[in-house]
Parts: sequence; C-alpha cells; structure tokens
Amino acid sequence: MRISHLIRSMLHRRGNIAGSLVAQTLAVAVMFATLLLGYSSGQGPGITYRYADADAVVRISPTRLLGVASDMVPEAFAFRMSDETIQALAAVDGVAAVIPDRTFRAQVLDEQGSPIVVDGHDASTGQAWRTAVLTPFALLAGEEPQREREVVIDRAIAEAGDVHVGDSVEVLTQASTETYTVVGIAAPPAGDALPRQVSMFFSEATVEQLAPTSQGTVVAGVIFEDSVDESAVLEGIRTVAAEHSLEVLVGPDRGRADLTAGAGELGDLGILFLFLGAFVGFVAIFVIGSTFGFAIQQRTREIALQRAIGYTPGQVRRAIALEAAVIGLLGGVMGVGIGTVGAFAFIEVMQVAGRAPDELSLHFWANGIWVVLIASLAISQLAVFLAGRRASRIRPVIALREGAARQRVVSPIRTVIGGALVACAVACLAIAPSVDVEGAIGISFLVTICGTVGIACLAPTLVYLGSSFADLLFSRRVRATTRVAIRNGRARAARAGSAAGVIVLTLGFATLIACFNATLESGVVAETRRALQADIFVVPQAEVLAPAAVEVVRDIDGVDAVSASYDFAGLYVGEDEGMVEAEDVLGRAVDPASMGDIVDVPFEAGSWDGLEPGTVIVTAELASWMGLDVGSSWTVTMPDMTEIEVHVTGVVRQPVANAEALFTIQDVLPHLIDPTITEMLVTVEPGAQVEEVIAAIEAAGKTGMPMAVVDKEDYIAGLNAGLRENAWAGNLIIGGAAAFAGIAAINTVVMSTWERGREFSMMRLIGSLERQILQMVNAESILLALSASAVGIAIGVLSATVVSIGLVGDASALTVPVVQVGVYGAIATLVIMLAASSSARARLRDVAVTTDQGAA
Amino acid sequence: MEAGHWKAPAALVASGAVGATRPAVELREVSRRYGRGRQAVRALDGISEQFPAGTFTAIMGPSGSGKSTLIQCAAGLDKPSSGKVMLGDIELSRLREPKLTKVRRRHIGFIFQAFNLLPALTARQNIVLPMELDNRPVDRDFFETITRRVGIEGVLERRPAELSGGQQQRVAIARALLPRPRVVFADEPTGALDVRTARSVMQLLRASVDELGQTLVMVTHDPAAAAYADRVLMLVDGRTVDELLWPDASTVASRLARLEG
Repeated sequence: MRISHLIRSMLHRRGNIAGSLVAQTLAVAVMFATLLLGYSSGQGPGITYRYADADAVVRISPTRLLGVASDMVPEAFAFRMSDETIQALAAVDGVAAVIPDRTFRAQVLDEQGSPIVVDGHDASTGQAWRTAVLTPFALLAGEEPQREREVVIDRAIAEAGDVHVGDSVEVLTQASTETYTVVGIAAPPAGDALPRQVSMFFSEATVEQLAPTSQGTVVAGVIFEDSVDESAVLEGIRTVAAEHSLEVLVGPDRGRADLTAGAGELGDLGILFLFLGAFVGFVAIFVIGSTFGFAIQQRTREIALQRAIGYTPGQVRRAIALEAAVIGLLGGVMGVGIGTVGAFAFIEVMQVAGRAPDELSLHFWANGIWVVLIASLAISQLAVFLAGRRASRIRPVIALREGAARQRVVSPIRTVIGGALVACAVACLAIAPSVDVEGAIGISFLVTICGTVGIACLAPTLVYLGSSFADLLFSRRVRATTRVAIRNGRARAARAGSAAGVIVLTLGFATLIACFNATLESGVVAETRRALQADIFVVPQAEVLAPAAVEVVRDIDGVDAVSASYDFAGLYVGEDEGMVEAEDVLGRAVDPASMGDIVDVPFEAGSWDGLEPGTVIVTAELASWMGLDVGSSWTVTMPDMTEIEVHVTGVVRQPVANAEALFTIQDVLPHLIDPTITEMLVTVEPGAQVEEVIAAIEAAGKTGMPMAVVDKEDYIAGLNAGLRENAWAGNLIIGGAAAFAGIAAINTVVMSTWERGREFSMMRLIGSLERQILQMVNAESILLALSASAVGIAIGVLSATVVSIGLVGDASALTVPVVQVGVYGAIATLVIMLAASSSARARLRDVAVTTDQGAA
Repeated sequence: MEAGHWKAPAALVASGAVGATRPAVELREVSRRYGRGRQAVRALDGISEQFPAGTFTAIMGPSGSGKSTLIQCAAGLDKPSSGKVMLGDIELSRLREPKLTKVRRRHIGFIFQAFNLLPALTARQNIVLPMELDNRPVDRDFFETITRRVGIEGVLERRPAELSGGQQQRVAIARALLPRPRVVFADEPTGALDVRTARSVMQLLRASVDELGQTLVMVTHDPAAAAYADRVLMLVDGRTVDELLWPDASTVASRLARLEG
C-alpha cells in the first residue's frame, strides 16, 4: 500500500476528507482549549496583589503538616502557624522582617449604621498597619495609626462613604462595633483598593484585641534585607519551613496566599473546565465517529472496487486507519493552533462578563500539545475502528452492481450496544428513588448519556422504522415531494441516522440542563417552603454579625424563637490502608434547642431529639463515606486546631444548607477564630405581625449590627436568584457542546446532500423542478430534525424527573421551561434545514441533467 | 480477421481442446439463491461447467438467466449457495478471506463493464495496482508488451477522467492481463463502448487468448462479440441449455432469439 496512492486518493476525495477534517479539528481545538484553561486555572493566580512587595510568603503546608499522601489537600480549612514559627523565620540570616498577616473581618458603617459598600468589592478586612508594607499601601493623606481607636482606610472606602481624615466612623468587627478616628487614607500601587476587597489598618494594640496572637497566623510576609544573596536567604527560609511544615511562596506563586476572592474562584473554574473538556471530549468522540463512519459509507462503491481489484480486508482496514491517522494528525496540529487562540479569547470574554477573575491568565502548556496530538490520533483510530471493519467486509461484487449500493440498516453490533445502553438508562431510572439529591443529579446525567447514545446507536433502525410507519400512515395525504422525502428517509436511514444521533445527543443534554436548572429552583422552593417553619430570615448585611445579635433579636417584641447557625470548615484526618488522608468538613453549628422546631428534614436514622452537646448529625453521603452510623464516634479538628470528639446522633438524607454535618453551637463556637452568624431563623408569636417584627429587627441592627431581614417568600426568591446566577456554568457547558455538535451535524448534512448529485440530476431528467427538489430536501431535513429533537428532548425531560425525585421524593417538582426547550428544538431544525437546503441549492447548480456515469 | 472467422489455435484442436485439456475453472453443481422461502430467487440452478485452459468462452442468455451470477461465482467474487468452484486444483468456494482475495488477485483477472478504474490513480498506477497489492515485482518487459499491444503506451500518465471510454477499457484489460492470471473474466466488456471501439477491444481479447494462451470467459448480450469466442454457452433460468462451438454472429443471434421467444 503506497503512501502516494493514499495521498492521491485523499486529494481526489477532498470534499469527503474535508468534512472529517473539520470535525477532527474542532474537537481537538475544544479539547486543547479546555486543557489550557484547566492548566491555567491550576497554576494559581499568577498575579500577586496583596503580597506584591513581599520577597516571600509563608504559610502552613497541609501536605507536610499532615503527611497527606496526595496533593488533594483541603482548601477551606485555614491552618495556623505559631509565634515560635514566626520567630524562627525572623532569625534566618538576611531576613529583615517577618510580618504576620492576621486579617480579620471588619467593615466601616455609615451614619445610618449600614455598611459602606464599594461596588465590585465584596470582602472587607482589617489588619495591622505594619502589613501595609507587603503590598505596599502608601499613605495618600494623614498618618499611620499608632493608638487604639485609630484607623487608616483605603481610598475606595473613603470615596464610597465620603470619609475624610479626621472623621469618626463606626467599625464593625466580630468583637464589637466601636468608633474609630480616621487618621489616614491609603491606596495600593494600582487603584483605590485591592481587587474585590477593601482594607483598613489599625495599630498593633488594636489588632491584638481584635485578632489576638493566640489565634495564630495564617500567612506571613517575609522582607529581605537590602543587598543580600536572595537564593541563600531562601535556602535558610526553606530549612525552617521544612522543620515547621511550611510552604514558601515566591514570585507569582505568592498570589496563592492572596485573600482576594479570585484566587479561590480559580479552583472552581478548574473543575468547570474539567467538566467542559470531558463532556465535549465525549461528544467529540461520538461526533467524529459518526462523521468518519458516514464518510466511509459514502465510499462503499469505491471500497468494493478496491476489494474487487485485490485489496484484502486487512489492506482496506489499514488504508482507512492510515487515512484516519493523517486526518488525526492534521486536525490535531490545526486544532492546537485554533484551541490556543480560542482559550485566550475565552478568558477575555469571561473576564469582561465578570465570570472569571482577573487572576486567570493563559499559561501555555507545551507538553499538552503532545497529549492532545496523541489523543487526536487515538480518537481518529477509535472513530474508524468499527467503520473500518465494516468497510473491509464489503463484498467486491457490489462494485459490479448498478445503482446505489444497498446499505445495511440494522447493524447487529450497533443494535446490541444501543439496546444495552437504553436498558442501562431504564435501570438508572428505576434506582432513582433510592438516592439523595447529589446521587440523583449524577443519575440524571447517566440516564441522559446512556439514553442519548443508545438512541443514537439505534438511530438508523429507528429512522427506518419511523419512515416506514410514516409512509404507511401519511404518504397518501401529503404532497408528492413530502411523500418522496418520507421514502428517502427509509432508503437513506443509515445516513440520516448519523445526523439524527448528533441532534438527539445535543438536545438531550441541553434539555436536561434547562430542566435541571428549572427543577432545582422549583424543588428548592418546594423543599424550602416545606422544611423551613421560620417566618423571618436574618443574614449579615456586613462582614460580621456577632453572636450577640441573637439576644438582641430574641428580645424584640413578637419574636417567639430564634435559631442561629454558624458555617465553618472543619478538618477530618484519618487513615485509610496505612495512608493519611485529610478532608475538610463543611459544618454548621446550630442551636439544638430550637433547630428541630424550625427545620423539618427527613432523617434516615435518628432525629433532632438526639442533638445535644457532644453529638453531631451527618448527611447520608458523609456517613457512607466515613463509615459512620448512629452511635459512631468521630473526631474533627476545629479551626483553632483543637480536636473535638462527637457522637453521631442522626443521619439526614440531604445536606441542610450545604452543610455536611450539623454540630451544636456549644461544641463549635468556642473554637471559631472569627465567628459570625451565617443566618438566624426567627418565628413570630401567634398574633404578631411579621412586617412589624421585621422592621423592629432592622431598627435594632442599626445600632452596630447591620442585618438583612426578609420574610419567607423573599428568602426563597433570594435562593432562586442565587441558583439562576449559578446556572451560567451549566449553560456554558451545554453551549460549547451544542456549538460543536451543531457544526458537526451541519457537516454531516452537507456531505450527505452533496453526494446526491446524480439523484438530483435524474429527478430533473424525469421532470422535477428545482423548487420541488428543494421542497423534498427541506421536508426530509424537517422530518429528521423534528423527530430527533423530540426524542432528545423527551430523554432530557425524563432525566430531569430524576432530579425532582432526588429533591422532593417525587416528580412534582419537575419543571420544564417549555419556551426555552422549544427554542432549542426550533434552532436545531432550522440549522439542519438551512444546511441541507444550501447544500442542495449549490449541488443543483453544479449538476447537469444527465445520467452519464462516466468519470466525474 | 473478421469476427466469426476465428479458428482455435492448431494446438488446441490437435489436443481435442474442449473437454480434453484440464479446465482452468470448473463449476460442479453450483447453485446460487437470493432471499428465503417463497421469495427466494434461484439465479443458478445446479450448474456444472468446465472452462478449459487457453480457450475463449462466451456466456449468453436472456435477462435474468444467471450469466452475471455465474461469472461472479466463478471469479470468486460471490459465494455459491451450494456446489464447488474449482480454479485448477484450488477450491475457491471453500476459501475464506484474506486467502480468497490473494488467490483472486494472483490467478484471476476481471474486466468490468464500467471500466472501474480508480479515479485518483494514473493509467500506469491502475495497471500495476494488483501486483503492488500482492507485493509482486512488475515484469517491466511484459508491462511494455501488454501496454503496447493494447495501444495505451502514450497515455499511461493520464488519469481516467482524461481518457476516452475505449482507452479506459484498454487500461482495464491491461490491468487484468499483467499479473498473468490463470483466467480472465469479462462482464459485458463492450457494453459501454461504441461499435468500432467494441470491435477493437474484442480483437484484443481474442489476441490475448491466441498469443498469450490466456483463458477468457466473457458474459455478453452482443452476438457480434460472442462470435469471437471458441464456445458460446446459453443460459436460461440458471441452467445451461445450449452450446455453440465457433459460431458466427447470425447463428448466435438466431439461437438467442429463440431462447428469448
């Protein structure tokens, strides 16, 4: 088999090859782009704001401290380093200063007692003035704080609150709300404040009160002396770091310790990109397989001729595999280039849209090129594996037959695989009632994957059967061109099945995501209404809502009961087969006396009655993972690094407000470094007016405890808004996959229509007008797209039912956004119709009215 | 020499050609059915025939008589439902892939009605392709002999799209002859050609038998083409019903008309 023959053959069939190359290139482009995005997210911020002027930044390394075997260390848990560690670092030769950055929540209040909010800056922190050198913050006016009750604020706060040097302001912290004198205004090198965060600076004495040394330090900045050998100093620091389980961050890595929200978002984005890449990769394999398979189908006659001349089946397979490898390599190289540009553009767009932090920047991973090229080759080989085997079994006698080679519609392997997948989907539906909401979400995706891929495998058979059925029922009632279109569907079922499969897959997932978001909203609403017996919901309006607020609210006329909750991150350290593992625990500390009266959640074991100091209620998933049951003992490390032992008293089916474990306030509060109330659930006395109680609580909050107070309906509306806000990630995934699949479907339709030149020519010969041929093509594409869309949408809706079952136990929460889903189906139909119609028009211009079958 | 006046080579006559020489191809009780049950079609019905080496046999019959099916089974392109197909001492009907294909490309040449050249390759590349697939070196002298004999030495670097129908069929003939197969099957080789070109192609095929000792089996519906053959077999309903030796065109035509009547 000569390479020159292969290349000549490919050049001769460049139209056929182009379709496969487009699909391959797009797939590689998307995969490489998501690979780069994921890699970039994993590199950390790459930008340092807070510690830009620190020569190094140190913090506890969980890997070293715990001896955890893997790199999956808990993010939420903030490890604290001791004073001794700080002193050891300061003693290193060449170190001028080690500055512990003991940051605490603090917020400036306006004259009405409301927090001064700076647009786009969600966090507000306080720290010692000596930490200003790490950024550095420079004084623009006034002087540094030296006494208690003195504060320097950043320019953003000053401008937002119209605050000047010499003014008195209320500053809310966890400890108290006190009056401070503004002695200075400062700003970082670029801008009025750090990104997404406003800062204020206090004297050492004040900080000692508000964030005592005894609480430990999370991050420390290190300043070197002038004119030292930096590498030698770093070596000294690393020696200390090894002894004290620290990690040393230099250069861009210092941004990992930054407190700005962006650093944390990167981890979430990395997961999003991983899902995006995996999902698109899955769609890509399917689409490339379809496109390659279709391209090989178009060559049936040519392959039969090759067999007649003397190609053995093995030689046919090798030729096809070699061709696929060439396409895989070419597509891979082009895809890498396009993907790089795409990733860069994607970051820019996401940042402009406010969906990605400024800290996300593109890092080019050179080794990723090899990964993607190898993947591209592997995918192309996988894609042609089955098609190549089928092609090698084409009988040479087909080359001798006039007319189109008859396509076998029912492929046994496809039928078996498709049937098995559909059966798997049905089985998943059957087990849906027995899982919790997270399990239900997973199952819904599994149902969609199995259902859509299974139907796609069976698509040629279904198209054949559907067309036969339609021909039987409707052919006499429709016009001639539609009648021909229905019969063409049956005759060309194998080809139509390729395009239909892609539509089913894409619409299935698009519908699932749309219904998922809508059902989640509906389910959350229903469950919240049912589960929460509170009349009023109180959340912090500022950075801090101190525990003292509970008594303030409890004392208000009309208030019957108040149940406060504190969210925190605990740490579980355990051993599994000799390896230390650590996981952070999303915990919530609740009031055991009142929680059970206000929140009604289904228990799998135990009940609220057992919750008391020394006990914990866990989710079923956590219990299963940890091997816990009612009565089990569990040791958890608190944020101040002390361990508490609790006993499991109950297992709930679903998380309560995202918490995996519910502890008592009595057990947890003493160990929280910077406790702030997450929310208070309030019930009113019989006969009391909810609106009046709300007003009273808001008024009480004006005295230095800013509180956002809403009734139940507004609370639920807020939940919905939050869910909608987060829906963009799912829409992004489905949008990316839909765009890719859409291009691939267009590709297939165009290729399929283009090859019908002779058929169009013969129809013209027997008297068809061009208009009638186009009507026929349009009818075919509409029938195909509508049917496939309907099936895909049905699978998506069915899968979303599982989500409803997981949320509320039955399908009552299932919400189908009819307009949105209808638009999806309409777009799919329109796109397919336009692709087929445009291709047919172009082909009709090319073909002559002749039946000559000589060389083209 | 004109069609109808060809005589078999003297050696063939002296040896008692038909029946005496070991057949190049033999069909023994070969049947071929399509479909099942009531709708089954019997394209060949227990046919037994020998095609002696070095002879030219034409197969004729009305439409649907099974002549194309016979040639496809004999050439190993299709598997009979029952019976045996022997290529010399090789039982073709029992071979499986890839051995069947290897035997075909080494020992059987095929000339199609629709020329069936690979459009991406030049005439030269089309001709040598079966040899290359078999990893056999091309005998350059024989290549030049064949191409000169069929009259295409001046167009070897052109692609099929640049050749006339006659030239394409000549290329196909050269492709079939170059491997020196035991037998060449031709399915309506002149079906797509005009009268003059058809005649020159038939002369070539006749010459391949006379000069190269090639065994040739040809399906045709053209009495003029059949007249170039040593023997004409008449098929009806998958069975041999008549046989003519060295007939002329008018004899063939009248016999055929009788069968179709």
